[in-house]
Amino acid sequence: MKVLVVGVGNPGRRDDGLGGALVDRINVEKKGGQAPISREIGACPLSIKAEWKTQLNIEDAQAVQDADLVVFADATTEGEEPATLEEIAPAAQIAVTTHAMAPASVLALAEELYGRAPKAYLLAIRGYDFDIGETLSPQAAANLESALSLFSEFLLSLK
Amino acid sequence: MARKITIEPVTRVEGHGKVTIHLDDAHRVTQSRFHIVEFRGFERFVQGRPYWEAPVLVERLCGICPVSHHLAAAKAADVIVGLGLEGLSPTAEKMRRLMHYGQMFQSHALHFFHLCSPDLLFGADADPAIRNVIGVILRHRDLAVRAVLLRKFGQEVILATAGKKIHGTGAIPGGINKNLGPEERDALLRGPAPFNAETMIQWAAEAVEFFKDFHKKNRALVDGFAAFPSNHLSLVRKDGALDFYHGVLRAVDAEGRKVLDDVDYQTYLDHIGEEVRSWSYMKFPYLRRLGKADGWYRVGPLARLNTCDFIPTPLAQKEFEIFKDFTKGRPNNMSLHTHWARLIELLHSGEVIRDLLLDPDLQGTELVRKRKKRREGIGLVEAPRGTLFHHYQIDGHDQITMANLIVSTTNNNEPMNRAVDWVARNVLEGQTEITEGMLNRVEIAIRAYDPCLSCATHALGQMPLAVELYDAGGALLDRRSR
Repeated sequence: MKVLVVGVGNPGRRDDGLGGALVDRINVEKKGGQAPISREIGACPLSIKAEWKTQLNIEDAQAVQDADLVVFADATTEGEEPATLEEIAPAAQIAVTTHAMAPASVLALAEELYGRAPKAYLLAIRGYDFDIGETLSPQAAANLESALSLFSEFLLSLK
Repeated sequence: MARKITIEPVTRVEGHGKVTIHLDDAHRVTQSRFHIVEFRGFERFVQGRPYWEAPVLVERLCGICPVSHHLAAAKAADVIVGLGLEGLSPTAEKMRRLMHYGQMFQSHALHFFHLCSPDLLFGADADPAIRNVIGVILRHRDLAVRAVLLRKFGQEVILATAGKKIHGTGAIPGGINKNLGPEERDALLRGPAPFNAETMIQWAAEAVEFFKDFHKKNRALVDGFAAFPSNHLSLVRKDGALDFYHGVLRAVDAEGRKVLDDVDYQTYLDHIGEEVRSWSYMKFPYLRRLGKADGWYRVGPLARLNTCDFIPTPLAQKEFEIFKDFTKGRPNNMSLHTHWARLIELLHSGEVIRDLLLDPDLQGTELVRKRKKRREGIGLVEAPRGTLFHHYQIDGHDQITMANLIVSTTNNNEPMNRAVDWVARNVLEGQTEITEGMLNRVEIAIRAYDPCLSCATHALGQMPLAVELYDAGGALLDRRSR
């Protein structure tokens, strides 16, 4: 099974970098061959690709349509602590700027342009400090650990 | 009862973008303002860092146009290491140009597809469920597919020159860290159709035709919407040609008179001032010669085609002549003609990319030059959305002590406010109810400039658009959100 993790956010705005920080941690664990990232599902190895993006855009439709499952990871300003994982569906939205595109719009674009939108989830990690800076706030760093646990449990639940 | 209408587009975290429109008791507009994200924090962020890190550090400003920041910072660093453009090796200068025109190509293609075409195809009053990129695909699948591939082509040019599509490291102080290999060149120049330079040029030319056809059928909208006189500023090549990478600063007024006559941008502080207004996080640049009240100017595609004398590639020059004929050679002050200008620039970028790919200097091996170091450097480029200024001072330990960045969106601060004000006075005045179409017209005015929210956060948590109506006492009368 091909799993694509897309971490979204600006690492120059402190907790907005949570999505990218999650991607970094997954890639570190991949190198170390740690479970559950290195597990197999039935006879098929779990293939995880994790990428960071400042913001989503139209070309991401092509990237997601190649995956069996996509997890968008993003910081949230108002979501539940420490993190939530919810399935999302394709939905087109009006754009006011080229500097932002919602995960649901990326899925809708994939569905219309390439004929398929994979099953997709949104991993929303609660952040607190979105000021200029490169480090996560202590609370956000703790939430990142919880989000990684949530993501691992999710992988283990895949059959 | 006086009313205040608040529109909060694009931002996810407070303070990034907001339109406020004040109405009096008779529903006449008394004031409109466009508030947008504070940019200044990043300038403090780079202080204390070594100057040679700046070209990479500043890329974090944006995931859409990181190349523009990368190159503006690199050009400033060139000055610090004792060079200007003239001091770079031909390979370095042309590799950077290729990177920059690839950036322009992908950004303009994205804007046309993502922001411009839904409004053109469906109109401002169309159902928002249709008026979006998916609606474009459903009605014009070929157009949508082409737009994605046009953007992808530009990104492949960036990948080949900068090492990465996003946040590359190609430009370094005094030069570049790689040349273009023959395989990379051939993949872009002679790749299997449609993914090659000639097809991209053909598609860009057809995008210009698409706009011209729409214009013929919708003259009142395209010519009249948010049209207002302004000054226009951009870099131009020393001979007056359109140039996105390097040149001298030129500004013309609404009648076409030169009000800034081809000056060296190292002296920009002598010519450009930045006004602070109490209600806005973002400064308001102006031409010192004309003063704060009259010196504001537009930047971006429309401004560039108003300031330059010609376009140095044949197909784009032909379109430029048609564009100029429309206003009988005078400056074009019609906001929606920015889309027309942008597509002509898309075509020009395609032609420049092809011509550069054919230049053997890109396979040269002299990548970096350095001379006697200086303590200060200023770098300018024409980013997709307009003129971008990077200015750095360093200390004896090579650390940045001062950074001043004027981004395209800051340069367009007053024009965006004027465009929103035009909509407020021509669409919202006298109305007692704010319809979806009226709101969208405010957005169309903003979309023409595509303000850069590069230093904004991208977290989940707020509505992309909320509209609130307040009475004179500050009580909420109505609220709309998407």
